[in-house]
Amino acid sequence: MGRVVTFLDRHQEVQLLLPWYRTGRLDDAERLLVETHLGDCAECRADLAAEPALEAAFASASPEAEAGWAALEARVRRSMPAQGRRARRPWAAAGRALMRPERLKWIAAAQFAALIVLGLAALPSAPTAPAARQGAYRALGDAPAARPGNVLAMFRPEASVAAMRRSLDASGARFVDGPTPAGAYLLQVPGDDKGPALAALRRDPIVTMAEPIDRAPPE
Amino acid sequence: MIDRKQEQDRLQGSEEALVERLRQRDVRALEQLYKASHGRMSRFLLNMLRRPELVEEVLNDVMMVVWNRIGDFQGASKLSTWMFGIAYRQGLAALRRVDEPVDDDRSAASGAATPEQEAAEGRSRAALAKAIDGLSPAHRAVVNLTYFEELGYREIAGILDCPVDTVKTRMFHARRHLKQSLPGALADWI
Repeated sequence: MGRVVTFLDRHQEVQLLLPWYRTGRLDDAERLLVETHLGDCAECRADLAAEPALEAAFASASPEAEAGWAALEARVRRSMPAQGRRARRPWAAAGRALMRPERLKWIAAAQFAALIVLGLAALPSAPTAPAARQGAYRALGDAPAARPGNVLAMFRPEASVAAMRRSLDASGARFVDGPTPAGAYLLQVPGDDKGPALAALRRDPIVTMAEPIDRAPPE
Repeated sequence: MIDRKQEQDRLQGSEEALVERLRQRDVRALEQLYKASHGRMSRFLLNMLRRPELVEEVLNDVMMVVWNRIGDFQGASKLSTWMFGIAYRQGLAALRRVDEPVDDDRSAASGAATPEQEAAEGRSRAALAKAIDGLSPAHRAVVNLTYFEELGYREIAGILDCPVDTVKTRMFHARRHLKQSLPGALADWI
């Protein structure tokens, strides 16, 4: 015998489906169920309206990590000695060719010249060694370099974090700080010409404002 | 609006080519995959583990599994879905190694402070982080995949290897826990 589906049954089911209704990941039957129920249930309407704030709360507590390919590459190469040897065969062949007696005298001369060049190059560069390490592997716990913001942007209140991320990816901008009490975000656009990034941000329908802030605005 | 279908086809084509290069043990292909997926995977692991010091190590473990087990990837799902499944299991294993509780049924409310204590902390981000810390790794994994990856609950169930109803209830409890842990308007906490 079929069971009568009550308002409470539907309410509980819709409560479980609300996050995926908002992200558009329900099938047609589920979407219809949610939409029909929303018309009758103020609690579910309020919960749906609270979803962006919940998502933003989780997002605001999400730290970012920096990529460290060098460490992984070393681990991968250590794990594949057989493949590594095969890959080096062309170099081994080149090495054998260079070791022929008629070429050795030229190699010795080249090495001597290279030593002089390296010696001269090493002297002035020594004091600036830390600067040369920029871009090298950085552990998660290291303090990141401060990034100045140069664009102030606002997004539609209902915009999802994923949509905001796509917007940033499309424009090349990165979050620096925010939201401010007014709901604006400080972004950083690399390079001197911010025009293309600003244009990309302004084209995105979820962006309500994108303005450069290189100079402080007049009081 | 972007032609989503066209974009998906293009990505699928490039993904197949990448998988083929991985099968041929092309380290540059692994580098490409690592750099392309680092943001999403590290965010997933950071949200799930809440232990930043573990993330890079676990992510490297994930990439090593991808590198060594790419033959197991049948292409029935997206490569990223397969990788999230690996990341989830490697993340749980890492928590076990450091003796972190990984019980899926851990009380969602445990670790949350009282409203009075929270008010005393000045409604800081620390309180928000603490509320999220009160969720289990499995709850946080579901939240991440739902909100930030915009995956459907069936796909998430496949990644976590659990029933779809478990995914729905985890998401429900995570939302309820956050609302209850952060009294007042949610927007005030963000």
